[in-house]
Amino acid sequence: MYISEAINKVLFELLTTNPEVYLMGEDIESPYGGAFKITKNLSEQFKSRVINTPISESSLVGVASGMAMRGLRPVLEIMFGDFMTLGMDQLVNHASKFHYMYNGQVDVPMFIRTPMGGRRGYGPTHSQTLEKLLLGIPGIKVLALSQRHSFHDIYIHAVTKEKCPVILIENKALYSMRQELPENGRSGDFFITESAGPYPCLTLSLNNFVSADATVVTYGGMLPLVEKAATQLCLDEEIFVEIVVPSLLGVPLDINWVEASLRRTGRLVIVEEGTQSFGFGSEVAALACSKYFKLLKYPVIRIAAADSPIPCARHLENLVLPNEANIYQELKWGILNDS
Amino acid sequence: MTHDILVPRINSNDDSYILVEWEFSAGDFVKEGDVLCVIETSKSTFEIHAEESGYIHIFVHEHSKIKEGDAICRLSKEKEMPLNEKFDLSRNPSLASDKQIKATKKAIETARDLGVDLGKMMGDGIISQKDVEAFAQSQNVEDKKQQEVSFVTFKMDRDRIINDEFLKELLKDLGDRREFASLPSQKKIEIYRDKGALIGEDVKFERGSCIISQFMDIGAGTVFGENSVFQSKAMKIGRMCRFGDQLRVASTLLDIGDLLFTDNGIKIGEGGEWGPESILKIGDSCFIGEECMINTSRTVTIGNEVCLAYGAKIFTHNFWQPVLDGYAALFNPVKINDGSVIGVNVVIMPGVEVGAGSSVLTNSLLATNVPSGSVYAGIPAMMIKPAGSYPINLSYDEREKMIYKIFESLAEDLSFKGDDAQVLQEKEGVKLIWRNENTVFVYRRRLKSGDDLGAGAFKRWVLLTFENVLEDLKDAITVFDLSKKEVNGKQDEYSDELREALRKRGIRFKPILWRYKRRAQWIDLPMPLKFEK
Repeated sequence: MYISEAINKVLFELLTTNPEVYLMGEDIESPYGGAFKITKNLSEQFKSRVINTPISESSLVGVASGMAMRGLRPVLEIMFGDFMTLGMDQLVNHASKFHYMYNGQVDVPMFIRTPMGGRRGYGPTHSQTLEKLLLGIPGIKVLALSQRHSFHDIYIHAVTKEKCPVILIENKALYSMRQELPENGRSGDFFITESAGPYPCLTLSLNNFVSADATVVTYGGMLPLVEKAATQLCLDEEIFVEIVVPSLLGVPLDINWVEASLRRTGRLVIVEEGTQSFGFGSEVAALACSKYFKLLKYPVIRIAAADSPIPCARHLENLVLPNEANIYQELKWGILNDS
Repeated sequence: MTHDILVPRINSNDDSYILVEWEFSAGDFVKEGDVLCVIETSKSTFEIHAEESGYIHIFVHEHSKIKEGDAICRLSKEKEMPLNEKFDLSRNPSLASDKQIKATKKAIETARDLGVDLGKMMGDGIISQKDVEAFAQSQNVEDKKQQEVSFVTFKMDRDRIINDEFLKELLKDLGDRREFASLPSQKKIEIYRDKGALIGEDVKFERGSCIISQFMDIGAGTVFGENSVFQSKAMKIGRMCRFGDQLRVASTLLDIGDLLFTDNGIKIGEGGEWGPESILKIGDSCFIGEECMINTSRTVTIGNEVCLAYGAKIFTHNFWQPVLDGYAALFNPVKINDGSVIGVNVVIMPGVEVGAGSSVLTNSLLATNVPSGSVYAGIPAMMIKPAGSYPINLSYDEREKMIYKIFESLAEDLSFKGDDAQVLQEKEGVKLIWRNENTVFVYRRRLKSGDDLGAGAFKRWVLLTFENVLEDLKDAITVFDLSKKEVNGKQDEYSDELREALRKRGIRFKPILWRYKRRAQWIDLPMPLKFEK
């Protein structure tokens, strides 16, 4: 099943089983069904609960936090993650604070889903990866899923069980990919272990966790690229890496999921699609240095987008964003030069 | 005729598609334009149509991931799958990643060095170098046993092993005087037989030729050309072999089948000839062209009906720079399987295996294995046609057209020699009437007992057929059976005429003849005046 279909299905299931669930967003009703067709055909069956809103992210988030406080479970679509900035005041100064400001008398179980990421030639304002602006705000959970995470289970939990605002980052490139869930600890060429809890962290290995040269932390839409680079590296050079893929990015960030793998490898690599400075990778590296300093035998390697706006032209976009080839090169030479 | 169906480019968004379902099962007959299968893109489904009619051979399972350019099935005139499926998967990289054994480059190299078949390794996940080494370790005991068995390829009678000064004298003799070598053939044979060698009837050691071996078993009718020197610990050579002049052959063990034909100036040995693995095995009916070189540092195995064309060279070792400085030193056996052809000046590197019925084209440098029925060419040699491209199962109609052309060109040749020959296309076959010799060549797809053959106006009847059910052949009849590749009946200069015409198109009959009873010497032929201006 394609991931776009999987999300559509779980939204249908949520609408069917939970009368408190409302979908809201710009042009999400039929026939358009949202810019990425995720809400396709839902408005026909749930006319009053799948709602087109004006082009005003600020009011959309504001209205939703009011609904959430009154016991509903709004699910918002922000058409492009780049426009999260327009709803930022409602999110940062209101939705995330209400629970604390009103002494725990209210919850704001609002769920915002929004696509981020480039590789489609959409230019500087429709291709960004802006998780870093949302991370580190107390009171908000930020999730990002890969094709090997169960969209179904995580959606159900986040929409129906959470009490705080949850933002789910969906990478555009993943929509046209298939869900590849691990079966009996295997998926494709990889051996996979999954941490417990509603937001599992996956650890992938090509040699059943025997030994590896690096622990690569990545998330969301970067996983397919890192997997390809890792497989190629194994085939060409017999350099094995373990890939650690959290689904809950923060906050607070607890990186205990990286410990087991770091014990085996002693080297931390962080791959992310956002710009490198002051982001998720910076935080993971900093925490690893303070918490697992003795496990680290080599310098941390960071692979991320250049600190630059994303160009429209595909060939220039490719230069800015990390891709399969440069992940392969950076991993290979980072490991070979320093071991 | 076969036709592979490839995945087209369907849209620009997807790297790969899903094959949802097949509309036919393997072996079904498909008509041109039929929907073969349904492919799903990220946006829609898409039907693939048959571009021609034929039986379908499916390469890809339902629900598999496929990429643009992958071959998903083959349409063939033959119902049976003519090739092994394993190889076809490897043609499609994206399929290979799903279905085939995956191994790292180091693992593949190690497997080649240790002689491990990756296909036999029951791996979970990607096979690494360590996995291969562990597997080789577990296999080692078994391998050693096999090696011991394969070393001795023929039985030797202990009493016939020559173990005295005679051989040492021969070696000295070769150095300067060549006294023994210049003896007449019959004399040399007598001396050898006297020492215990097994030598059949009509064997000839031409002037200057000499064999220095502790065990000799030479079949009847074999001829050793002038100034040829053979050295080996033990040798077994089949019947009716023809070795050219100026051969230098040195190998611990020589095991050569019947009817080998070699041209002049062949070199066998060329380094490492007295090692335990210096073995040359050649099957029946092979051809080795002039100035070929076979290096026997390690075992070289050549199957039946293999052709090594002019100047082909086989190496089983490859070293020069010191291994202590990280350079490679290679010693690996080479195997060439039945019915393959190694082109002019091809160089074969150590460790290569050429599959049955394959072709390696002129001047190639062959450093990889060649699967059966494929065509390779280039430096280094690359695949030109995939495994199983040959043999092609042609229909009888197509074959009959070819036979008609062969008859036509045979008639032309005969006319050039001043004979009266005429080809007639008949309802049931083709007929070539060779009037002045009172002979007729007849092609019939099937010969029946009731046919009016072997009688009437002609003195000689030479018959060519795919299916021979004639029981008793009259004296004046020769039958060439194209299915069994056999000749029955009388064989003389008339039947050889057809036999030679067929041989020039690669059609050989058992026993294979390299020498023919020629009707006319070239000196007797008329001047080709029509070519003059």
